[in-house]
Amino acid sequence: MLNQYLVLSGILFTIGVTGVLLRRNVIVIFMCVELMLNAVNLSILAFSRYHAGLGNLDAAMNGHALVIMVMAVAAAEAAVGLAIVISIYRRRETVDVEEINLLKW
Amino acid sequence: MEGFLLKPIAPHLIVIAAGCLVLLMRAYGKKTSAGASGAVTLASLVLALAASVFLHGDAAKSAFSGMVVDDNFSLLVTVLVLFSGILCVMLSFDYLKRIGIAQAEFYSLVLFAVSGMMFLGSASDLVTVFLGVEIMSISIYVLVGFNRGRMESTEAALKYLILGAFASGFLLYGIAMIYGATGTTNIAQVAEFFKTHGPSQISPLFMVGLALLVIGFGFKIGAAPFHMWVPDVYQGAPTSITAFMATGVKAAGVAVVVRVLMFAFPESMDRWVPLIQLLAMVTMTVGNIAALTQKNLKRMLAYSSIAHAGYILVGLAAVYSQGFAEKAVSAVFFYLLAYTVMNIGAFAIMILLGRDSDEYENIDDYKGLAQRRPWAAFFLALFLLSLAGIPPTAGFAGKFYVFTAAMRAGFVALVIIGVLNSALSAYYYLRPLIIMYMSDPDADIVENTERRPALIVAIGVTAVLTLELGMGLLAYLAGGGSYYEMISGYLARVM
Repeated sequence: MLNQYLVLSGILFTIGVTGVLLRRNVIVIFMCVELMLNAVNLSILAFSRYHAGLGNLDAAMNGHALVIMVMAVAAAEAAVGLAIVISIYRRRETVDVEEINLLKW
Repeated sequence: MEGFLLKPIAPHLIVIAAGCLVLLMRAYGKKTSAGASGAVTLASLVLALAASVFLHGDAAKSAFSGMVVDDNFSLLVTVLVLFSGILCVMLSFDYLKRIGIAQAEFYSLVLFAVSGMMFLGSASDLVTVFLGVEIMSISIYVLVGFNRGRMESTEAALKYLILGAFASGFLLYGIAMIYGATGTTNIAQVAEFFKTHGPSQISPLFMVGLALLVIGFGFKIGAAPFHMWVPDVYQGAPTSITAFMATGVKAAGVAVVVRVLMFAFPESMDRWVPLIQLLAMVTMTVGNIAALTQKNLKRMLAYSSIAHAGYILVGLAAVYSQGFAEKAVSAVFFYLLAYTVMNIGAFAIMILLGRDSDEYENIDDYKGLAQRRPWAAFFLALFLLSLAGIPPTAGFAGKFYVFTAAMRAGFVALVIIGVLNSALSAYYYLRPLIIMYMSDPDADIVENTERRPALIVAIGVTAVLTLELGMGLLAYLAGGGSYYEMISGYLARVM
């Protein structure tokens, strides 16, 4: 079963990466970043079950702890990200990354 | 053992407690001035510095089931990031007032960012590495966008946040794969796994994980080709935060790269050293070439910081030399220290010269500075010469140690590219110098003549250290004790 989960997680991660690179709406980009992190969570949990199946319960618990940490970090990142988006939207009335381009060479 | 549980993270706890205290002082005492918050911040950073030095024992002590460790390596990182944090706060005092963002939250975020960096230094588990990176990064995202009235600032914050979170995704995926391949996230146990199972166990899963880790860290330290955020973010951020990012964040990032690669994967060195070598070459060249055409001093220093990340990576690749790994890592640490003092010095002069509405960023603004402000021009010249790597400054000594280490590892091509790059960089570092000394000032300039003691002290300290670290090279060549020898003496006991 491990392989199927890893493939699914790889596909989800790739969708996230593609979304960050191609989409122009900042909110959608944030959703794609969350997708990346949750794809990783899926593969960590799959590995965790795999190590549990091998009888290595310590390793399995490590994975669970890591996933919980990642969820907390993702929440903090989303909070800060949305705050920054709001402060930009108040000034410029746009969330399109193509139009947020004061800084360039 | 249990009784000493908190001792390895006592300095971290001091910094975190001070961060909370600064926030509470603001919440409960509405009249608390930003200056008072700054003073508390400065005091707590100095206290943490003292605590980290005096509580440090010679033997490595780990705590929280091997999540953090207090060894000589972590001591060096802690001292470096606290030093950078102290200088950043000294730069911020008057600058924040001048641009109208003097708020207590700024200082508490600086403290939280510093605590994240300290955890990166003492991380002995990949989970701690991830948490340290995130504590540091999330605080810095907010600090970059702190000047909400200025559109560049919020834009920089958004760009940094998107790319930072993107990079964290890669970093985390790498950690997940290494966890999958070895069944542990503890750095010492990962190393143990490969020692017992031998090179045959280096599976594709592990190699992909390693590559993803390098990509994630590459983003964080601003190495090419993962550097596109650096110029925009450094230019848009408040100047004291730019100085902090270029030095503290970079030092912590490099430290964690060394910790993970050297302590967890020493067995697979022949796999990741070529990768680091390639990154070093590309990073140096891209940074220097892009810096040549810049007209904005802040943006030029941003590109130059990419180039300096490249020189640091040269030192990191040099760990390949058998038996001299700790010499190479000491060269990296020395370079980070030298870069911290000279770079913060240059940004401090920029802040010193800035006026109310004018950030004083364009290189043309420095016309005839030598006639108007001879001392400021002199110190800026010193820092720029040091960044260019001209003896007898810290920058030259740093490059000398790094390139010597790379020679010892037999990377002649890498050293040649590095030296050519240094020669190239002299062009853009010397251009502001010529403008300062050779052209006449515009007549209508109103000088900013406020008294700013904290800033002056910061400039003095960095200038003295720039010369002092540079002079240490003479002592080293004469066979006497130098800072470099001191650092490698510390590292020899953990590597």
